[in-house]
Amino acid sequence: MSFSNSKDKSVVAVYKLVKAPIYSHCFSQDKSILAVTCETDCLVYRVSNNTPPVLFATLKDHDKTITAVDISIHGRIVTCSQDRNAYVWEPLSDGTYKPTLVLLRINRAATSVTWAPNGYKFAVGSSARIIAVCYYEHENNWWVSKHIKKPIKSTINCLSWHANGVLLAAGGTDGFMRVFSGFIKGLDSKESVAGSPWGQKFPFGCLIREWYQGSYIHDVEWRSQMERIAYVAHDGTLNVVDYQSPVQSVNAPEGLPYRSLVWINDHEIVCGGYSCHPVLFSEASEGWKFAKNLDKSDNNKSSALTASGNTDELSGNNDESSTFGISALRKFKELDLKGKVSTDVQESAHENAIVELRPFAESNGQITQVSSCGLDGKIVIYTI
Amino acid sequence: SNLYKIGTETRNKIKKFRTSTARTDSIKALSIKIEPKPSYEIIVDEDEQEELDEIEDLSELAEILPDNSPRFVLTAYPTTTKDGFKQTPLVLVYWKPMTVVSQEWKMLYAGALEMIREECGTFKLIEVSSGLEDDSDVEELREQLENC
Repeated sequence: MSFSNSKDKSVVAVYKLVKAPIYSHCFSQDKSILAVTCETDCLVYRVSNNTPPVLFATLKDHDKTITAVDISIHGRIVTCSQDRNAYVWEPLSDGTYKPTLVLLRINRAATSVTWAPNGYKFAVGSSARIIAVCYYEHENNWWVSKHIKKPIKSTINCLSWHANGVLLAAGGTDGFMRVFSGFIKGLDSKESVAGSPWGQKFPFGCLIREWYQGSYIHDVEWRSQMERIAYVAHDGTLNVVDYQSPVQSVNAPEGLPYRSLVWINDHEIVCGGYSCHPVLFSEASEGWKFAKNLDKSDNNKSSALTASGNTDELSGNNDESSTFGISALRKFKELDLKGKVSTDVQESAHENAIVELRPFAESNGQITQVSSCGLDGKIVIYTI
Repeated sequence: SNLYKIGTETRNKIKKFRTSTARTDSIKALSIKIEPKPSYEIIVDEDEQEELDEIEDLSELAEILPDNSPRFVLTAYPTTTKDGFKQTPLVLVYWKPMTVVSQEWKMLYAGALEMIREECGTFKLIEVSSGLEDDSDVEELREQLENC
């Protein structure tokens, strides 16, 4: 574990775990276990306060890049991959995991996966223009996959279950944000959606509502108790919708799109993306607006230099000579992390885009800390 | 020495369905299932039948029929021929969605097919393996039924 050089107090912890992008990460319910994707493996760490995460299991049954991971309330891990498969990993008492292959019946990569709140079914988004809703069939010891196809026109990027476990929000590269019903006979009860403002009947696969954004939807999340959905798109917007009012939209102050979002409370959302640091938005009477940056890089060169404490940078105080001061090691490190060589010293905890944010700590219905993973192979925990 | 058993009650239900639907104006369906080991009895599932009695369109079948087991659905589907005659052919729909994983169930239903056909007295058979997940699957079945 290392702490960011940043003076910003919002960074609680930085874990540099792997030398590859982390596309997805997830903590278990009690935050004692952390699963991250690393190329074709899923690495499972044990986490305790103030010590670095300890690797205790490597889940390696996939043979192409793992695109998403999620942990259910019962501790089961589900992974999905570009190899078109999903695995459910059942924790055993000796600390290992028993894999079960889930036949998704799709012919393109799986892109996202998310457990339903009750932990008895999950949804997988894919490039096959299909959402596979999978549930366990006890008598046959088998995960069954049912498809939602229409009217999806392109890759599904993101999925989110409503707390009732029936409504499923999905966004993708066709520029549509949609809400489907993921009702499974014999698993869900009609009572769970009784009185829902979204409709009367919820047969499986039924399209409940859709919104056209016109650009890739990167992430979506329900705020169930308010019957609202927030999503971020590649046009650099954060949008909030509900079952009746028009879309409320707010632009990213830096213009760079967000890849992920988390609801902090009923009126605050934190987003993270290509600007490499989280941004907080809040709702006021006039609508949603930018509230503050967390761990924002400081563009003031002199202060950044003193903060960095990096000796091989100290020789330069103008742009040209600072390029001279870069050691070969640092140069290749930068190539590795950012895909480019820059003269900037590290300012924010993430050195490349944030791809996923998750709630980390909560008190009184308010999220107090979020965790993030990025293309730089780091896990960062922020205080809001 | 037949594996399957069929009682008079089920036979009567099939007979009643055949006669009562001869001149029906709306779609009617009778769900026939096989009881698991050890009885292997062929019965009409009451709960499923209650729901089936209320359907108005083919697209509703997928909601009622199970994902994890095949079924035989005796269907009366009213159509109008090219000459303008109204007719209601009895068609046996063999429901076997891809989501059925139990080999035992698949074999059990496959083995009973001929017997059920005999009992139902129809040789019009349509196999549905799509699970009717898509609108196009429903349309395909509709076309097949109309051409029966």
